[in-house]
Amino acid sequence: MRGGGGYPKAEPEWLDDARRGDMQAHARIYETFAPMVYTLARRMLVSPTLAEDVLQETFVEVIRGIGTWRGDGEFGLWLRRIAINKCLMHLRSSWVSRRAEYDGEPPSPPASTDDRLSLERALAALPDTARVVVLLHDVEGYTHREIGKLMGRTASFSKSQLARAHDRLRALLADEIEETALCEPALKTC
Amino acid sequence: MRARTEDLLTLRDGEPIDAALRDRLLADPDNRREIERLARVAEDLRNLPTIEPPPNLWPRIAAEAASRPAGHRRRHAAGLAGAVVAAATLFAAVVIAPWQRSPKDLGTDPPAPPSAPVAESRAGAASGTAASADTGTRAQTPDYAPLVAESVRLERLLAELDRRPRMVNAGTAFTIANLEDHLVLLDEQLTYAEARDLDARYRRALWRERVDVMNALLHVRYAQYWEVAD
Repeated sequence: MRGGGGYPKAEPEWLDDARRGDMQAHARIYETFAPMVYTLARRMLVSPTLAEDVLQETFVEVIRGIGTWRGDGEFGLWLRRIAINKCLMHLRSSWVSRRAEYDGEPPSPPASTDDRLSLERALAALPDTARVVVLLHDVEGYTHREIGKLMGRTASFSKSQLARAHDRLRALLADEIEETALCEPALKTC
Repeated sequence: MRARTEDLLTLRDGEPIDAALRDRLLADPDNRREIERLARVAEDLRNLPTIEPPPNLWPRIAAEAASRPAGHRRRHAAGLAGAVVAAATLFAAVVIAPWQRSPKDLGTDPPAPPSAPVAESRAGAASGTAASADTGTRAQTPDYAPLVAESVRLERLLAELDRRPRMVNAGTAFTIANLEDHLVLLDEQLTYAEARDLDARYRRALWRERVDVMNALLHVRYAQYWEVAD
């Protein structure tokens, strides 16, 4: 798993105070890490409502369980692990009910001229499993073995899902480029 | 040969792969370009911008974290009732008596702030903390004194309702427990406001929130009272 570089840092005294139940310290931790957790949850779950739930559940768990954090690793990494588990729990609980929605062709992302926005939309249009695998592997740095374990599957399953995710992303991004070209003002087709 | 994405990803990530297959794949410039593209996609995914969460979620999270399991809640509420009666009695004797009004005052203008400091607060009594610990700084920051006075008035009305019979309803009990937990949290912050050197605006916001939560609690308790009265 990735070493946590680039994550926000928590001041050691905040963590000590938070362990003693100081809610002001918890508030500071929340202010520092909430965007990171919310971003992670939004990318994994897409839905703002579910991401908000994950944000809330993650920090409630941090407040109640910070005493269980041994302090021998990076706090941001511990926090991300909690958030990822919460996201996976949400996906597991909704996979059955949402299967019909995602088993077919995923929704086509609307055209966009901004590369990052295009990637964001293409990512959101991936099937849940493929999206989670690509995020865990390419962004969070999990190995295929770790992903397989987290999802109750094998490393091979993770590998094939990653390949599927990238194939789909390539197609979605190519579609966007094509649509953008068609929408060039000079062509007056949009 | 047409390469499988899975194999190209294996090469991109430097994972073990059959040497002959690796050499064959890398001999093709298209494959090399595709591996580079896959690496760029991963890099772009890592560099996607942060998404800011909705504002004002923290109070909800703090209140949720402070809530207790159902069994503990009931015990807490039962203990609270006794503590509140004791605190309210002391409170009424020391502070309220000179300007006491009837429960019909609910919804009327708040009384002037009491001249004596608040002896004990509802949630403070239950939690072992006291919102009144903030009274030392109130004199220097009179801008939130009306909120403190309003909080005192609501304490008195709640104390009056607490002496009336209650109808036990699981939903209402849960709501009351949540509101009382919220008060405990606010009182904890107000108790240590001085030590933490919280600025006056923040204290004012805490007192404002305390008045709002107490108002909500009073409404629930009032509705509960009328259910019994009917």
